[in-house]
Amino acid sequence: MKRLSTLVARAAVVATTAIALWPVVADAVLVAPHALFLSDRSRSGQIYLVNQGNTAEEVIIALQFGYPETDSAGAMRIRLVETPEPGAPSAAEWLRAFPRRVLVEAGQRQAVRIQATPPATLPDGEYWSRLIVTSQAQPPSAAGRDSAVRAGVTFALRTITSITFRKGVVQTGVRLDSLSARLTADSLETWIGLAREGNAAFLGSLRFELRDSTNQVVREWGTTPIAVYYRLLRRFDLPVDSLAPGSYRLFALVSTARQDIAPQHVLPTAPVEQSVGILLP
Amino acid sequence: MKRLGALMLSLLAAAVMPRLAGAQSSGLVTAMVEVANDPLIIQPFASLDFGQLVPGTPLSIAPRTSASAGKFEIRGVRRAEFTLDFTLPTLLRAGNGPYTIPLTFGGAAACHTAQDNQNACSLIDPSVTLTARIRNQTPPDNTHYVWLGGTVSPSPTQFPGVYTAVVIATVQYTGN
Repeated sequence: MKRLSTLVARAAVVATTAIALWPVVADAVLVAPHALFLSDRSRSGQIYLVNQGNTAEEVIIALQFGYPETDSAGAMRIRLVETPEPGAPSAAEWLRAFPRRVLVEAGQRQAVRIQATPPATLPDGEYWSRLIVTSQAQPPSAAGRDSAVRAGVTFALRTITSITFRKGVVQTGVRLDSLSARLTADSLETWIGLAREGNAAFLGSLRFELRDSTNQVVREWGTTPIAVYYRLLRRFDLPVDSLAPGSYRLFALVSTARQDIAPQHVLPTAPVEQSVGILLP
Repeated sequence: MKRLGALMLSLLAAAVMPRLAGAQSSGLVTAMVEVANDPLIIQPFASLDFGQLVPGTPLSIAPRTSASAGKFEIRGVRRAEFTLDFTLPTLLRAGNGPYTIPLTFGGAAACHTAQDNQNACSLIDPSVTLTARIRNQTPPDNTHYVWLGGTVSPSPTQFPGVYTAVVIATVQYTGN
């Protein structure tokens, strides 16, 4: 992180020379894949950095323990933990990235190797880290005007992706702890509590169905990817406008179906569902 | 530049594909290439430009209406949820010197929307984490857009110069 601070401080300095042009910038470093899976049998992998911009980008790679959680409003956020508690399933301490600092020329790509060197006594289970990629465009050659007061803000971009390391027997599951819904204006304010089971994060998807008194699906809300590392209490607002008054049942259906994760990385588990009665006036 | 990006994605997919093809069925390879083609990326299209200031006169850039607002495009897996955080500076500084200008970001200094339509974006507080979803469209329409404004307050005796600051924009998938 010290390197990151240095980079940002330097960026502020070099931006001074660039601001006279104050260009429309198009710098960006693409990071792929967005999730990397390693194991005790395959301890290294690669991340690709692709500079899609038209200027060289200085890129710094860092690793930190982190996982998704929900806030009090039921919204998702990623919790980054600088100093994980003892026993936390953090892989950040024994993952290494090579290189950790690199200049990626415009239009070029750079492979970054991620190597895991876990302690020999590491218990079976799943361990997590976030890969933090920070990029800042190199300044164009331009001279600043100093006869007037000019001001502007430039951007450093940080992309965070996930790294998962699995050792030995890993299994996952999800438990629907709670499901509630109440009508607000033309939507159902829906809260769902999910708790992970097993020793690995549950990566799956969630969808909702509203069924009428004859068990016919009258409305459904698309498949939403979901990741339960510990426990989530999520809020969804499900539009129910133009539905006829009457009694319904709202079903929450959770499965391991995911479009964005390769099938061999998905830990299979039985789908689960829960429902709650709804009365639409 | 988008064409170059598509080309680079194709090259990236091609680079990943042989490694996968050796171990997987063709169906699986197709799935993996789709994954490789939908990475998360944040790209700034415009800096937040306050331009030339009048000493003693504060200047605000409105995120929803000003062409000088900073603009980001975020692309990723369709419907994937992501968070965006800004690390916001409080001062602009002239080089390494002692001269600064206060910089503030109000509770509606940013806005976001799934499509590239600044006038229709929803105002947000840039100091609060934005949680949103990538537009449910195939590339290149798997997007989300954010604009950033702000206010500078130069003093009546503001020393001439070029004042800058760096905003760090952090984007990540929530996995949801």
